[in-house]
Amino acid sequence: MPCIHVPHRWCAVVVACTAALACACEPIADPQDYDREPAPIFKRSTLVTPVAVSAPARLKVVAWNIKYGAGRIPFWFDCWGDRSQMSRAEVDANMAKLYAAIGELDPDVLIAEEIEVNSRRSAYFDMVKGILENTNLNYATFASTWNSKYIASEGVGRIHLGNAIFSKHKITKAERIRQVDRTDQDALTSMFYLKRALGRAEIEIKTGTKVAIWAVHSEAYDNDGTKKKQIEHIDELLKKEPLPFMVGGDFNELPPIAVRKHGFMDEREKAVCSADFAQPPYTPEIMQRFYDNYVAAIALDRYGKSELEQKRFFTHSVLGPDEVNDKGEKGFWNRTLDYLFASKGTSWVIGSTDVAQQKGQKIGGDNGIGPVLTTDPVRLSDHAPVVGTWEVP
Amino acid sequence: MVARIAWTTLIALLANTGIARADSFNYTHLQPRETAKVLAPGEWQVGVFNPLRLGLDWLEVDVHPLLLLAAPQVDVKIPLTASLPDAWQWTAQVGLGVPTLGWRLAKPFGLAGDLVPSCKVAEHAAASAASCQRPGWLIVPKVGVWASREFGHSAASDGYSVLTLHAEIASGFSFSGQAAPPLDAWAPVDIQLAPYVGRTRAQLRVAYDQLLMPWLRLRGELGGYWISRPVGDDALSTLTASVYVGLDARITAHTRLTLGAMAYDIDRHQQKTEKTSEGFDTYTYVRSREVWPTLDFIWSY
Repeated sequence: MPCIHVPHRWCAVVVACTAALACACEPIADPQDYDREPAPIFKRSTLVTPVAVSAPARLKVVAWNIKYGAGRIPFWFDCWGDRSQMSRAEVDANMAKLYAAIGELDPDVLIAEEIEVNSRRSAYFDMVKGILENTNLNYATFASTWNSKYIASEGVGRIHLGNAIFSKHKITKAERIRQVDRTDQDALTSMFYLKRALGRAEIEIKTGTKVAIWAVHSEAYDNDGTKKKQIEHIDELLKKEPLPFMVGGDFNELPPIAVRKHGFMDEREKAVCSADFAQPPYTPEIMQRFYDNYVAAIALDRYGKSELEQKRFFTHSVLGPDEVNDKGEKGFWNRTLDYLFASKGTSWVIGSTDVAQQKGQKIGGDNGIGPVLTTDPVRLSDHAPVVGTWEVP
Repeated sequence: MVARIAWTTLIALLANTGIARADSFNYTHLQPRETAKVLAPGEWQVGVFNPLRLGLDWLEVDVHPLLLLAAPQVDVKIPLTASLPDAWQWTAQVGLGVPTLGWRLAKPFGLAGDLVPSCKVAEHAAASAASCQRPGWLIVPKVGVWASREFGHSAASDGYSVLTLHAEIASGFSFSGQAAPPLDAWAPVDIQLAPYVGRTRAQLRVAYDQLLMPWLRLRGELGGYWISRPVGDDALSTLTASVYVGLDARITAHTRLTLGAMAYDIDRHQQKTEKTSEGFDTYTYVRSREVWPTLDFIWSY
């Protein structure tokens, strides 16, 4: 209507430009409105021929929360530093160390959490592509869990994070499965908060033989029982899984017999930062069902009864060995949050399962099958890789 | 978190409403806005979001009351030629800003904890200062030029339409602290605040402001922007385009309502998934489009 009084050429330019610009706006945050949907599958540019699978099939599996390639850089939400962004050079250097560690462990399947493909804080680095092109893994699927155009909090900016499953063998089907959201956040916060999801991949390990791999990253900071619901949901889904399966990742929960349940050495003695990222009390009993229903890579009897024994299998610490807490103590793994479980009827090769904690360690212990680590996982992420060789009849 | 989003949205609106300036005064027809013409001595104008404009002898001074404490910025427009019907009028613009406090203060005075880190750990323990990535002290000089040509003057009225060109360059010069990374925020925020994090921003805008009725004006504008990236950072394109369409309506003799929409074509590292010839997936990057409403209520005396 206003164009009546405007020169026709000018009106046409304005209408055309406005229409062109208005038609392709990106949502400010991915609402992730799905229950279960196909996930993208990526392929290495040049395939590396995997070793032929024998009978029974043996697959070396690693589950690792890689902390978006940040290594031990102290990010703001951990409350031991203020960093909100890395330079490309920092990410390149950290990723190169991750490639070396993955190469040393040489998994057939890698389950990776907190992996980013397009985030400002990790210099927009595509870590799925990076791992594919710099290790012997050929295929990957990425289950996006946090995809927002801009997070106006501490300068986080664009973020695209999720769980990935990598495999030397072909991934024939991939899905992401939505988990319940927290209910203890206001609507706006919830819109921009990450949406937990499971990754599931079907892998053809040899002609006619498929297995399913599940990637888990449960809620960490809820005060409303969301993590409990998510872990129960995983158990319910796994009961319906028709293929031999392996599930792994960062459950953000302690094992049911954990000796220390609070007062970890990497917690601040006095509050310094936002309460949004304070650790709520753990509820280790909710993990019992996994030990009852599945085959744990590290069984509870091996886990031990004292904190000193259990320390050998701790997988998480906010502080690394080059940082100190309020008492001046150097950081080291101080709790177990990461796991590998396999379906009943399958097993773990003796001497193959372990937590890859630090340089010089022999995987599987003194009688383990190795290797002796030359890389140093405790400096590569705030989580340690859980490893094991899975045997499928 | 809600407060953060609301505050940042307000900043986005503020950043957008630089375009929504107006003159009402004692004219029979609503006067155009954002042109080379400066306010006459003694005239002033202010909006809810728009800056305070003061007409002085031979120049106009613009300051923003809302940002005066956290990010003081003074712009001065100096006419180079007289304002005559059917002739180009040229006006120079210079400005200077010191935005550092805005990055240091939390809401409601600043944006610490929203667009930049709050650095609570560094404030708690000086030994952690190295991990604080907020901008240091910097100054932001600005130079620009306006050119306007008026059309449709008649002896019977003071109504007319006007074509305006505006070229400007602003740059942030840091003299303490770490070099801040680019914000990579929503388009209006990023364009407006780029010099405030040490970037250089050049812009060229072409606007046509058409008198529709004595109380109503239509404005259309095309803009092009170049914003520098840090050395070695080629992650994003440095070029952005914008289109603005909006209406100004006189409410009373001294007030007007401005309402419009601003659309941007900008590289914000937007991804989409595509299929390869083998049926696998791959990520590719596309430019982003953003549309923002503009709204303000402006008083002119």
